[in-house]
Amino acid sequence: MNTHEALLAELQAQRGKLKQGGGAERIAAQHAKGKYTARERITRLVDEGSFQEVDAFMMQQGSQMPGDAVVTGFGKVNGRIVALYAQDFTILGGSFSEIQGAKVAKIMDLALQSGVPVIGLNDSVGARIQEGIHSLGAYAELFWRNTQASGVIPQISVMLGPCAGGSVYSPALTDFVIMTQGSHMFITGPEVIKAVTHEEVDLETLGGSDVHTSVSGVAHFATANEDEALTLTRKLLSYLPSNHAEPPPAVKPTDDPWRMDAALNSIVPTDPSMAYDMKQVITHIFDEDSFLEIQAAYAPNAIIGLARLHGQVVGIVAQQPDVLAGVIDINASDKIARFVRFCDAFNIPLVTFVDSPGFMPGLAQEYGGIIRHGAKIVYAYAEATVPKISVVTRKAYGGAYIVMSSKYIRTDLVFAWPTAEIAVMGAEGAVNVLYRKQLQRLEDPQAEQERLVAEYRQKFATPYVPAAHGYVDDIVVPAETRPRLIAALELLRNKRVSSPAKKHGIMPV
Amino acid sequence: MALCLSDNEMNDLLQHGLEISVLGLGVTFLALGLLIAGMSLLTRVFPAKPDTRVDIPETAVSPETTPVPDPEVAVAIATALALAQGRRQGQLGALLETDRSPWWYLPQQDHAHKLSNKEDREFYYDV
Repeated sequence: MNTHEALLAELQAQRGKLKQGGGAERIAAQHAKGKYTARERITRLVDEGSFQEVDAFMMQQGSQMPGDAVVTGFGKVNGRIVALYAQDFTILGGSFSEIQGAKVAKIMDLALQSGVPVIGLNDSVGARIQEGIHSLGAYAELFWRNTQASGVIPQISVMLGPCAGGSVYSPALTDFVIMTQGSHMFITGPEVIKAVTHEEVDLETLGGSDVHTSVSGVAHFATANEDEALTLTRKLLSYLPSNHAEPPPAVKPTDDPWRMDAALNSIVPTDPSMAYDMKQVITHIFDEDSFLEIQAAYAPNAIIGLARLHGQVVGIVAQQPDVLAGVIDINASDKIARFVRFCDAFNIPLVTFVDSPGFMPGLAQEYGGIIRHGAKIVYAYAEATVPKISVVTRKAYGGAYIVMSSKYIRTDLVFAWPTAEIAVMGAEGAVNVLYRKQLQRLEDPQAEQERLVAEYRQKFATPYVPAAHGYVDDIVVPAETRPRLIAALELLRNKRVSSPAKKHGIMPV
Repeated sequence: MALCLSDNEMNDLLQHGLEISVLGLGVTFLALGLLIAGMSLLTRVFPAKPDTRVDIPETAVSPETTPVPDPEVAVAIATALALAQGRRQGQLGALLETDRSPWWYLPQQDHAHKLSNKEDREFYYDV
C-alpha cells in the first residue's frame, strides 16, 4: 500500500513533468525565437502567486501529454480575478485538439458563470490535423462560447505566435486583439494565395501586426515584444469592468477636478482650414496620463480610447482634424461604431469630441458602402443607453453632425466651444449652392463669394444658432471643459432610460 | 311716560358732563406731554450717528472713458471667475467618489424597476 508521502511525491513528480511542457529542447527553441512558454507568459501576466490551474492532467486517451497543448486556469490581475488560457507551442505547436477545446470551453464556462474577463494567450499552428473533424468541432465550441460571452464578460486575445485558418475567428469574436511583432493572423497562407490568385506575399505583409493594426483593423494594439503585450493587457483590464452588470473600476482621483488648462482656449485655430491635434485636446482635459488610445494606427482620422475623468472610466470618441481633416470614411465608421457598442455593453460613459467636415466623398467610398457603414455610427449611438456627452470643438456639418452623438440621437448633454461651426454644410459649399447663378452673372465673383461666405459663417455656422434651439446645451469656454464634463458625469450618474423590448436589433453590418 | 326735569337737575347734569370732558382732555394732553418728554430723554441718551455718506461725482464713470477689456483678458477673467466660484462651492466630482454604484450600470433596468423584494434591490443597486 502506498504511503501518504509516496502519494504526495508522485503528485509532485507529475506536476514537475507538466512544467516541462514539450521538453527542454522545444522550450529552448521557443526562447531562441524571443518567445516565452505558456507558463512563463501566465506568470508575467497575473499577480504573483495568484494563478490556479484547472485541468492540468486532462489528456486524450492513450496520450502521453497531460494537459495537452494548453494551460488553463484563473488568477488575479491588479487584484481582480480573470480566467485565462495559454496555448503551449512547445507541445505539438500548440495545435488545437479536442482536449484543448474541452479545456478552453470549461474555463470559458467558468468565466461566464462567474462574471470574470477571459484572456486568451494564442500561439498555435492551428487545428490538430490528426484529429480531423473533432478538432474543428472543438473550434466551433470555442466560437460559440466567444459569441455567448460577447457583451457579458470582456474577452481579450493576445496573439503571440501564428494563428491561421479558421482559428482566427476566435480572436476576431473577442473584444480586443493585441498582436506582438512576429505574430501572424490570416485565413489562407502565402502558398494557398499563390496557388489561387497568383499573388506572392510574405507572412508579415499578409498578416503581421502592422498590417492588422493599420490596414485591416483586425487587431487593436501592436507591441514590440511579449513583455509589452502582457503589460498592456494588464493596463487594458484596469479600465474594464469584470462583467456587464458591474460599473467599470474607478480609481481614487489624483488630478484636480477644477483643472482648467488655458492652452485649450487657443488650441483650435480660428481659420477653419487649419488643422490641430485632437489628442492634445484630450490630454489637456482628462486625468493626467490616463488616455489609452485604441486602434491608433487604423483609420487615424478617428480617435477612440479609454481614459479617466475624476477617476471614472470613460470612452472617448473623436475626430482627428490632423488626418484627412477628420472626415468620416468607411474604416472610421466601423472603428467608431464598434467602440461605442463596446462601451455601451460594459457601462462605460461616452464622451465625444466633434470636428468633422462630413463624410468622405468619392466613388470608392460610395461603392464600398459608406451609407451602410456610416449608418452603424447612428445605430450604435442611438442604441447606447450609457451617459453620452459630446463637445463640438469646431466643424459639425450635415450628416457628420447628426451621427456624431448629436442631441437628436439622444445625447444627454451637448457642449460647444465658441469655435464651433454647426450647420447643414460648410460655408463655401452652401454659398456655391445657394448663390451659384448670381455669382455666375458677376464679372468678379471672387469678392462677392468671399463676402457671402463670411456672411454665412457669421449667420449660420456658429454654436449660437443650435444653442438658441436647444440642440446645444451650453457654449463653454474651452478651458472649463474638464469641470463641465465632470459635473455632467455627476448628473448622469443617476440616468435612467429603457429601450423597447426586443430580441435584438438589426445593425447594418 | 314723558321725561321731565327741573332747572336745578338740568344744571347739575350739564356741569357733570363738562367736568368729565375737561378731565378727559387733561388726561390726553398729559399723556402726550409724557411721551414727548420720554423721546427727548431717549434722544439724549442715544444720540444719532453722524452721516458718513460720500457724494460720488457723476463724471467718475463715463462711457467714453471706460476701457474695453481685451478679449484674451476677458476670457482669462471668465475662466478665473469660474475657477474661483467653483473652488468656493467645492464638491465637484464628490458624487463620483461615493461608494454607491451608478444607476445605469445594470442593462436590464426594466427588470430592476420590477424588483419588489428589498433584498434583491439592495443586491442589484448597492443601496
